[in-house]
Amino acid sequence: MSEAGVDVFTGKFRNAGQLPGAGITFCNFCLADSGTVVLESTDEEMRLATTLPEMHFILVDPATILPDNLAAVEPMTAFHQGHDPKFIAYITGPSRTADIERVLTIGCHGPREVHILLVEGISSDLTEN
Amino acid sequence: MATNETYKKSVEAAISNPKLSKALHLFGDAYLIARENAYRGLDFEAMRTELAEIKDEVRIRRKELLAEFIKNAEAAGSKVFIAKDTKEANDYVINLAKEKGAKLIAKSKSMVSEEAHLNKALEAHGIRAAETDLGEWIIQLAGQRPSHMVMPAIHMFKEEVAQLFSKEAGTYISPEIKTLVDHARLRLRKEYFNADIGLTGANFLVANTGGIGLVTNEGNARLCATLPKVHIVFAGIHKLVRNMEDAIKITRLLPRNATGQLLTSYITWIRGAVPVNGEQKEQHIILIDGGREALYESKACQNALRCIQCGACANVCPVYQTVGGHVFGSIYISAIGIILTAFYEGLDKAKDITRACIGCRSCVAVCPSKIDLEEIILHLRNEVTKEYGMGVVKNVAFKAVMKNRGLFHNLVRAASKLQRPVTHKDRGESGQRIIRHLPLHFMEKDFTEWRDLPSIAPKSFRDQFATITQQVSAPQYRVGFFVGCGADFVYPEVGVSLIKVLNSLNVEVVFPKAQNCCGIPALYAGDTETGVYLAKQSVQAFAEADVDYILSICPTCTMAIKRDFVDRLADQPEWSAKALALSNKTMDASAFLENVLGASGKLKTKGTASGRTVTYHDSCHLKRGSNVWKEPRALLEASGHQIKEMKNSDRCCGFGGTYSFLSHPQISKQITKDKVETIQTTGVKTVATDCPGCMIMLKGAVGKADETIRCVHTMELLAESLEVKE
Repeated sequence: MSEAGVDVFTGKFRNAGQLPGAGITFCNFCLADSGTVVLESTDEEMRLATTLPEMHFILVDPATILPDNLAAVEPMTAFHQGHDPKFIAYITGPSRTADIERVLTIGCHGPREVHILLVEGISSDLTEN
Repeated sequence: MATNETYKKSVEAAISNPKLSKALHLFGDAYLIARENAYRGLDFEAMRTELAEIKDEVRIRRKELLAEFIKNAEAAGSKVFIAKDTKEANDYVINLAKEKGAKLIAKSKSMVSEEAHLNKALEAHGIRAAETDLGEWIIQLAGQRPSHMVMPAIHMFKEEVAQLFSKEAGTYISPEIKTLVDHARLRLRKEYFNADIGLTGANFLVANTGGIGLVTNEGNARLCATLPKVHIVFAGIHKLVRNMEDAIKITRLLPRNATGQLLTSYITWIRGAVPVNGEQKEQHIILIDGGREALYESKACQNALRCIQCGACANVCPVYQTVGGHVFGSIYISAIGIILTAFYEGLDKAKDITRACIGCRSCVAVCPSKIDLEEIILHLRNEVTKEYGMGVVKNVAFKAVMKNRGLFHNLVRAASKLQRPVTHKDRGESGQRIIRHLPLHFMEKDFTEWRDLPSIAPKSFRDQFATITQQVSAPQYRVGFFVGCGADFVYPEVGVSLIKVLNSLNVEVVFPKAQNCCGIPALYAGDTETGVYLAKQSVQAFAEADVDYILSICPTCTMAIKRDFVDRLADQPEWSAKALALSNKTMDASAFLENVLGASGKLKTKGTASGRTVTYHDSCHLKRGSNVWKEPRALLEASGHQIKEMKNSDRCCGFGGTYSFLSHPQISKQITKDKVETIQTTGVKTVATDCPGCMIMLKGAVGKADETIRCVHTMELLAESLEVKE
């Protein structure tokens, strides 16, 4: 990406400024019926990469797409075994609001755009970090 | 009991703001469509039955589940504090902030923090609470309360918002919605970075993981929970669920029911003290009682705590759509608001709004937790009446008159004669049995401005019954007829029509004379004593009748017999068995005709309807009380009519019993106006319905708007179709 002229920030994300251009992450699994991406994001950098930027790119392995939220009960329960702190994010599209006159506006506090890239063979382990 | 003057003024002010009502109506219509789409392929009834069971078990096991939650949360590094009331909760936050030297708290949405007036409490100690949810920020700038649980600023328009933002920023922000949202994004971004503490609510507390869940769209809750070093969770104790599966099941209902979304943009699951800037975060979970324990303990009202705070009960409420959340609620609005206000703020604060509910049960039909909100509101109204009384007019009407059946009926007969001077001259014809204008000194001056009043029939049904010859040689069934006051005194032709139709299908009708008013007007006004007294009169009258079924042509009476008689007499053993027996035999007449007799296959119509187009109005108590709505349509079509549906055919007509006459005529007027407009839009000249109460309203209001539209009971149309055309 650096070769293509994109400014890639690899330091501590808190110092990347309040409005970074884009964040790129993998994801753990997806829910087909609502188009949802699920990310284990206990690591703070993960959370900052997905909450602050204008755009969020997510790399998804099609082998991790589950039919619906009920199918997520098993991996979600597995995530919470033991007593480690956890931060799991369900992301369905970009941020939005309809708080002003009920008019739907895409892009509120979270990313304005979400791009999902299907890449086979990354990992089919749903709970891998 | 005189209605509070301030409350009355607030109702009037809201009604004279048509922009608000229009916005809420548009939203209500759009919401229904979005919701229907969101539930396609799913079984809402099954999902909500399951959620009700989950929440009921949570209630029963709550002490144990709370202990489990605390254990698991603490093991993951959270600190948990149980606050018995909102003051204790606020104090905890204030003390923690002082300890940290915190001056700025970035807040995402938390309804219980509104209950606690947390922001004000913080400000008194020099701590600024910055709302980051767009709607909450807007109302914070405006110094107002939220007027809806999910869209707090639904009552505000973009021009007002632009003014607020411009004032706060010190520069002009143009009133374009995209510009306003972008401004909020930029302006609020700093708050997360500068805040010493982030405070969120919680949509659920998962007992077996010790974690919380947040259901949001904007992305601000994630930022509040991530950037600041300290995270406070501020939540009511009723948010507990047992496990991940429970929580996920709630997420399948909450977004669909709140906004018609399949899922919100974000669901965030946080357990324990997650890393922050290389260290471990401090996470404090404050769980608040604030009246919730007392509500859990109330047998009549406890189901209200199944609530998942979706706001749907407001979205479908005709009263909310007319006056908005600032009038019809306090911190919480609409149906659930009435109940929570009574428990969290006190019965006196809920007094006026318990009576503002028109009883249409639209909320009950959409509640994802299957809470019978209307039933609970009625109970609270009884409590209000016990505390505060009922007022002279109702006291006399119910206690002195109605209980004495002989006196009641004689007075009605007398009124029938006395009203002659003000009634239309052709009062033999039911369509003309109206009072166009009341003499000025009678009641408020705008009473007949928008609808004609019904007048008493020259001869009541009960006086006519003896003169009706029934020709049924070998009856298939003997049925008792519970006539109800509407058909008895105002529209006896409905009862006469019913007999005609039943006779033609080989059914004999019995009319136990000792029956009286079903008592609903008294019960719904909070006069339990009169209600019970009246119930007993009718229960006894029918206990002595030897019949296979008991039919009613008024769905409110049907509900009274099937639900209220049984509930109110449950604790009197010699009466409860009889009430149950009566309830088991009672049916709505249309349902009996179609489901027991299969009438749509057997009606001996003479073709007199000749394909006349009718539109059908679903009475609230028929559709959402007895689940009857297919049957009248089947009968109308079988009798030769064509049905053209009106928009929102099951939206309340605005009658609500004494609501439109005594307690809230102004709100009634608006609701009825909507109904009249939808009827007129169909272009159809006949409106059929199965409720004398709706008939009173429709004949009156539609009649005033367009004399050529006929409003009639389904039974009348069926009887007419049996007659040979002359």
